[in-house]
Amino acid sequence: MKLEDLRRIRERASKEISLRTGGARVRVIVGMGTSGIAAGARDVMGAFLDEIEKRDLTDVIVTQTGERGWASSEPVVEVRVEGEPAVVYGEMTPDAARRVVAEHIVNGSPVVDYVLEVRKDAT
Amino acid sequence: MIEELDMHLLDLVQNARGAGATTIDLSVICDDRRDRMTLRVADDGRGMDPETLEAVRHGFFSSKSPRSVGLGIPLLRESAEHCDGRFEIVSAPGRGTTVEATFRMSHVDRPPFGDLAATVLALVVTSEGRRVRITIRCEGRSLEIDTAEISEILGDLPLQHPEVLRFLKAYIAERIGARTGGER
Repeated sequence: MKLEDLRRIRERASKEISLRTGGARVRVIVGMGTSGIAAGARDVMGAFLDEIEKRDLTDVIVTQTGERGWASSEPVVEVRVEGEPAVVYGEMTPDAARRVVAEHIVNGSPVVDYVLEVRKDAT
Repeated sequence: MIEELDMHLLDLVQNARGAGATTIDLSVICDDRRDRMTLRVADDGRGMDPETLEAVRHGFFSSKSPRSVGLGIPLLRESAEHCDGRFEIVSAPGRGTTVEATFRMSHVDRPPFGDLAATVLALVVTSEGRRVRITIRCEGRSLEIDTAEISEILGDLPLQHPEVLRFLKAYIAERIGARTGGER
């Protein structure tokens, strides 16, 4: 495999991309501060990326942030779906992350078992 | 706790991001002959003044460091020193920060690699416009990857496009995935 092979992917995907308007519909923000990593954020992040790949989701972006004061509930993940309140999930696991993708991001209903906070102020 | 090398890498990169770095260089290099493994993360972020640096090095936090940044640093230092290695952190305001930790490869408590391939993938695809360069040369693993080079090829196609993710996952696994179970 060579990095240059990416050019073909780019060419193939470019038509599809040009149809999209603006940024991603969903942002997934994983807390990757020290306490988050210690609690398992690495594998939670991996599960989100894996689901994006497996489900061919082109409108989801996974990003990361540092400590946010939720240390006792790490790993913490915030999910922002365009036009909806942001949902903060706590004590996440890779399985929980996969549920969030299936139930919240794809089907639109937050996974209440893991919700820490719903932030109506966020866009 | 943080007990695998890739978790330390994630932690150090998060520190660099928190410091506003636009370029982050990361390497894991092993020297079999000398039985050494060196982990290094260098960034061009805002750096630290001597007081903050001292606090971070030893895990003491004053009111000057309100956010819990750098909590993983003392853990890495302890781990390296325990494994017959050494730890060094160099930083100055406006000059970025470089962290280097060495371990004796064969030390019984030397942290395992963890899921190095998954971690490298995550670091690459969450780089968000930062230049992240990763070099890994250790026990048959060999990878050099630079997000600037990838972005140049991709143009406006996102790093997290599913096809790009699939490609990068396979590309990284081919180079360092074979023995990332963490066992020596």
